[in-house]
Parts: sequence; structure tokens; C-alpha cells
Amino acid sequence: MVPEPIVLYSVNTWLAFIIAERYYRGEHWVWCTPHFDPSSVPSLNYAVPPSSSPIEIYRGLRKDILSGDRHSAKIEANKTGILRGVKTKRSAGIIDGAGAAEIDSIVRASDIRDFRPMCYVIPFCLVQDRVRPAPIDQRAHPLSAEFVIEKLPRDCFDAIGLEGI
Amino acid sequence: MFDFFENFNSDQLIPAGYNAIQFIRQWARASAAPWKFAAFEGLPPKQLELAKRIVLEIESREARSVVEIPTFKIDEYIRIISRKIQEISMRDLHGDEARGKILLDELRLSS
Repeated sequence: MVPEPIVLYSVNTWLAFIIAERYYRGEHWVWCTPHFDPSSVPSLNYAVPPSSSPIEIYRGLRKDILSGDRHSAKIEANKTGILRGVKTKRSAGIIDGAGAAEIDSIVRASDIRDFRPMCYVIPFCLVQDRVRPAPIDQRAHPLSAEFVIEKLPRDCFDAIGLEGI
Repeated sequence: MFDFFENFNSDQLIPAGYNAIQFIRQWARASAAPWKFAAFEGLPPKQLELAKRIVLEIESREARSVVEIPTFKIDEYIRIISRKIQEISMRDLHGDEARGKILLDELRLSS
């Protein structure tokens, strides 16, 4: 039997974080895993390529920001992710047309620094009723421990920067 | 490239484009399973068809599977898809960059 994780980790951008705080009632959509750094875990227990791990996602975003990469594919993908969130929340009635226009305006006006990475540390005991396994064909590996939380309240996680890693 | 995007509104294009991006940058590369396409779970039929069409357009241009396309080329496609999506999103959602700057400044000050 696989033991329950102690904590889950998720890396997101400041802009995604602040939009969820301001427009989505403080409920955050996150993709998360119990393993922040796969290199610290035996590979039998963690079959995720390093590039998909929270630490590498964090490093990748941070590198693009520090280098001033205005053409970062990671940042462009994040913008699309935020816009996809707009559509989802609009359909769910969480925001109206005016809110959707505001978020679209914010994304359009954003610059590189708004995509600085943040690591969410999520105690599993607080979210065990909210997590669902990530779709198997969307995981980095069919056996890897990856989860989705569609409505993560702000009081269920800590959001930290990790300068220097 | 991706001229067919113009035939779709943002309700269809954004979810489909997001899933296509996730597929080419991560799902197709990381998965050990031999599936051709991710299931694109939750996408309704039109969006599913569009997501697959985006992937097929890339593979057709490159004459190879997405998993065989170098990362720097995949990044180029991500940039192109994302920017086209942002253009169509602005058209449909009526975003205003000047207003966005004001809102963004407020958000920056609040955090």
C-alpha cells in the first residue's frame, strides 16, 4: 500500500496566483506532486522526468526571468493557461464578462517579472478530499504520483519563493 | 501558419490551444505510453478536434512526430500558438492594455 504523502508541491507564476486571489475567490487550480525534487528520491518510487518536476519548472521560469527572455515559451504557455482559466471560470459563473475582460487586459499588459515562479507547499491532510489523480495520459509517467486540485483555498497552502535554487 | 484559428472563437480555441500546447511540450514527451494523442480529457468534441488539428499541423510541417521535434522548435510553435490565442482572446474578451496596466499596478501593490 502506497503511503499518503505528507505534502504536495506545485509551481505556479505570481500572475496566476494573484489572479486567482483577486478574481477566483482565492481558489487556485493546481497540478501537484509529493516530490519537489526527483533527484532526491529513488527512481523506483518516482518515475517522472526531471524536466517535469517542480524544482525544474521553478528553475526554468526563474532562468527565463533573470535572463530577460521576452520570448520565453514557458511564459507564453502560462499566459495561455491563465486565459484557459478565464474561460473555465466564466463558464462556471465565477466571473462575468467584465471580469474576463479585466483578466485579459492584465495578461496583455503583463511583463516578464509578473511570471516569477512561486512554490506552493500543500499539506496533504488539508486537501485529501480535494485532490484527484491527474489523468494518466497527461502524467509525466503512467506510474508517477501527480494530482490536480481544482479549487485549492488559500488557507490550505503556503506560497514561497525560492531564490537561489 | 494556423490560419484556421480565425474560424474559431476563443471559447473553442483557448481550451484546445492550451491542451495542444501541453501535449507538445510535455504530455507527448514525458509519457512512457505509446499513445498518439493524449485523451485531452474533458474537451468537448469540437475542441478535441481542434486540439488534434493543431498537433497534426505541426507534425505535417515538420514531417515527423512531435516527440521527434527538437525542443527549440517546439518552443517556437508554443510561442506562435500562444500569441495567436492571445490575439483572438483580446478580440473576443475586449481586453484593453491601458486598463490592464492600471489593474496590474494595483495587483503588484497589493501583494
